[in-house]
Amino acid sequence: MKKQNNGADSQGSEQANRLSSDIEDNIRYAQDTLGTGPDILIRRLHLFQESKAAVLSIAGITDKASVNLLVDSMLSEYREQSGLAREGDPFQALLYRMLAVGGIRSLETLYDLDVAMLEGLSVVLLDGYDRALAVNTGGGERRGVEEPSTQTVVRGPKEGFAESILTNISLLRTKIKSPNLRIEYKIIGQQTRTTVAVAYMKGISEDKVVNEVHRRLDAIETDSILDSGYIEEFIHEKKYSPFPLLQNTERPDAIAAGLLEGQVAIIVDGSPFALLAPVTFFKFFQSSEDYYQSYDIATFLRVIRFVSFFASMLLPSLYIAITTFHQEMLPTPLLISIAAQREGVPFPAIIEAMIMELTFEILREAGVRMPRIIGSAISIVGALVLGQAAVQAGLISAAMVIVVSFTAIASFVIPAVNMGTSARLIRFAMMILAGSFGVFGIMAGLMVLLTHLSGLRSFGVPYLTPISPLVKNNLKDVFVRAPWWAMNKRPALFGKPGTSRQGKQEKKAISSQSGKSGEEEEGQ
Amino acid sequence: MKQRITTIQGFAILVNTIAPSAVLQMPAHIVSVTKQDAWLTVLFSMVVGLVYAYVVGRICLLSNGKPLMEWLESRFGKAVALVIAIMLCGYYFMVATSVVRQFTNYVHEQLLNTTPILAIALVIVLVSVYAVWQGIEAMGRMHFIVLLFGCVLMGLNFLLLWSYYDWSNFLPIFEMPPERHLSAVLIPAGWLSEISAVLFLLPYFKKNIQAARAALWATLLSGSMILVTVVMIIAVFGVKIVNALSYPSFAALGIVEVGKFMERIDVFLLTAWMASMFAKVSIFLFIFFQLLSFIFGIRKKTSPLTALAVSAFISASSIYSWPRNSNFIEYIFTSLSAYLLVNNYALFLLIWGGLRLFKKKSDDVQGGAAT
Repeated sequence: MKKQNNGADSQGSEQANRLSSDIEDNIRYAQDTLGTGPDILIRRLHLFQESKAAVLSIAGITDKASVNLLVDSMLSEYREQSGLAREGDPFQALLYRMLAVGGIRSLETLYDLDVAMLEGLSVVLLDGYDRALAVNTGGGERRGVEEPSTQTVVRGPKEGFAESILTNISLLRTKIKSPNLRIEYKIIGQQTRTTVAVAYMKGISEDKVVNEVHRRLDAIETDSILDSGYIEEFIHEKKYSPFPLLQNTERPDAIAAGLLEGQVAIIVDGSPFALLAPVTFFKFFQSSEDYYQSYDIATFLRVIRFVSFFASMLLPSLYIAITTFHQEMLPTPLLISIAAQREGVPFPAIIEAMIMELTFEILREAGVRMPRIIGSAISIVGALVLGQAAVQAGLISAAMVIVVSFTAIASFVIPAVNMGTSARLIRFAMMILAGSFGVFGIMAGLMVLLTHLSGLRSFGVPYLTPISPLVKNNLKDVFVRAPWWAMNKRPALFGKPGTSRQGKQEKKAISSQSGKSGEEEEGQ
Repeated sequence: MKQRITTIQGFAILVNTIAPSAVLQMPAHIVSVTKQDAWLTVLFSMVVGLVYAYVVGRICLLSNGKPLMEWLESRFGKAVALVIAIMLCGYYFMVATSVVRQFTNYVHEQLLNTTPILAIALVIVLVSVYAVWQGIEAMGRMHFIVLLFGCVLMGLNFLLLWSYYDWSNFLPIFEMPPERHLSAVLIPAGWLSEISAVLFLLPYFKKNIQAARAALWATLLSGSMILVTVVMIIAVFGVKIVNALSYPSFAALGIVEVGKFMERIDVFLLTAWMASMFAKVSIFLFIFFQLLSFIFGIRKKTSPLTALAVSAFISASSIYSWPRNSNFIEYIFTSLSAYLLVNNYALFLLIWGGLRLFKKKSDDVQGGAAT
């Protein structure tokens, strides 16, 4: 059931205006509010006993075939002159007998008429009635299901969410064919009237989390929701934190997996990124692919991701700290090599690193914005001119180019883009601390980060779960990914023991059985 | 929502309250008094510490679940509670400033010789005040991770130094007379008495028994950490060299090399110690703020401006209270140690006696599980 979002509505007075029983008044109102452009379609009809009717729709957001079917079903009844004659009340006949299009609801106010048309419904007006019918003819051109652009995998499903909420929910329903999958809808945004769906698994998700998600969504009062990013900022706990407190993903399989582990999904119409809550810090280092490939390689890759996260956050600052304050840490040959490279460089390490990091950020931003056709040319200019030439000109040292390049590559290893972005931001603060206080400064920065992370919660769940607070049951899927047969229980998000998600796998029995049958085969 | 900590988080907080500064300077002092038998001194002090932790645990069990000062106020009256609060506030202020100074000195001498020490002290205090600002729940989680990290690196240090150990440095055993042990025990026993900080964490535990358990286990682990450090430095350097070093525990780490490509990795190994020092300062400041709020009747959360002002005051006090480092070292092993013994042993034993003497109605004690 769709729920209207609470909150002050500037159009409250219009809501109170009922539809007129004069069809022309209603058409005029629709033209006044929605305009008379070529996309506003008004089809006037004369039905039984010459009673006037009209079908109003907006081209582009309605499905042409459905609108045609609607008109055709009205006219065919007229031609046969049977339905209306028998029913007596033409409005009831339209509502219950005549229209061969699914999804009909009755409208009573002028505001509802506008809203229905803007949602892609067709409105049927009948002269003499101060009510109208809204018929679901939604459609129009929208991007289809494609491979996700941000979370690609080598092994695993290749389909990603699109902009249409119905498409996205259908993708989800094809993954979880269970009546326990509950989807509840809301309209948020007074101007955009964006449809938002809350999906969860009844019996798996905690009721208090589901209720909290609803409460926070209902509390949103805004003009517009153009992407799930809007919702994300409105509903997370901490106002000021560089770390993401909700997970976003383009992958239906990631959402399905989250739901099956007790998370709640928020799907926003118009956005291919769905949100998952609650989330912990360690979730951002898990990729869908971890669960599709062998657990040993998945574990190895996960460790690589954690190392990359710290490298992307700390490598330039460690370089600055060591070359500026703690040269004794380096072996003598390396120290001499770095010192020789830096001999002609006019800047201290901190300035050198800042220049390089900012240059890289500019290149990255330009890479995202620039037309794809000239992307390769700019990459060459960026890599050769700003890298090699700057070293040859003596502006920066070669070691710094290596450090910055490795840092940049490392930041892309983290599966969640938003966590990678956090590391990028923190990197600059760490570089300033390292340039001022060396390793001690880095440690001070890390302590602030650790304390900050310890204080974060996502929908009531401590962000550093399951390490601190320690939840032993969840440790099977943090730094290592245990084999599926060993992960019998769902992660426990609120300190309660996790519920069972599969039968106890008799691993030994299976292997001994297969060994036996192998022997038998050999014997035969 | 009331903030809560678990037993293991409370335990981590308490270990970080004692161990970090204790492993820095105390081992050298003990070795200077009881030489190769220093490990025995640490064992004796652990026994004293455990007895004290038991007494503190008994006080925990008597609690009604309210913050310490409110509880004492309800038992002894406002005037007595205020006097105790002022005494404890002074104590925690002095200990906090001395820990900040200890940490600052180390960083200044070993890592940042040219950086103004006031800047270093300010960074230490600001980071710790930020932790206090985040609340005890965040602190509990942070302390747990710091302790975990510290234990892993301490174990690593111990193993990396294995090839440098000369076990003959411990010979002859039991050479020191009991009176030498007795005088040497006082200082580690004094530092272990900082376990009384658990009384300020009482309202954040679900049950009083958790606090008592955390105190006992924390004393045991802290004592063990001091013991391992003492064993490590005697085994690596021998008694004579230890006495010539300012920070023998970390000097031992300085000799570690990994192959031919990693030298002086002690800076990395010391990161765990630095983290625990930040954590240590944070807990003293947490208690200091708690006492300050009680004395001045502040009910609201401390404003950022007040926190900044207190940070500046503590930083300045830690830097300017002792003109020279030698004065500070002397202060640690004389006045501060005496103050630790008087404040923790005498004051809290008096409080315990008072609580037993002025018994209130039985429903004052929190829950059946507490006892």
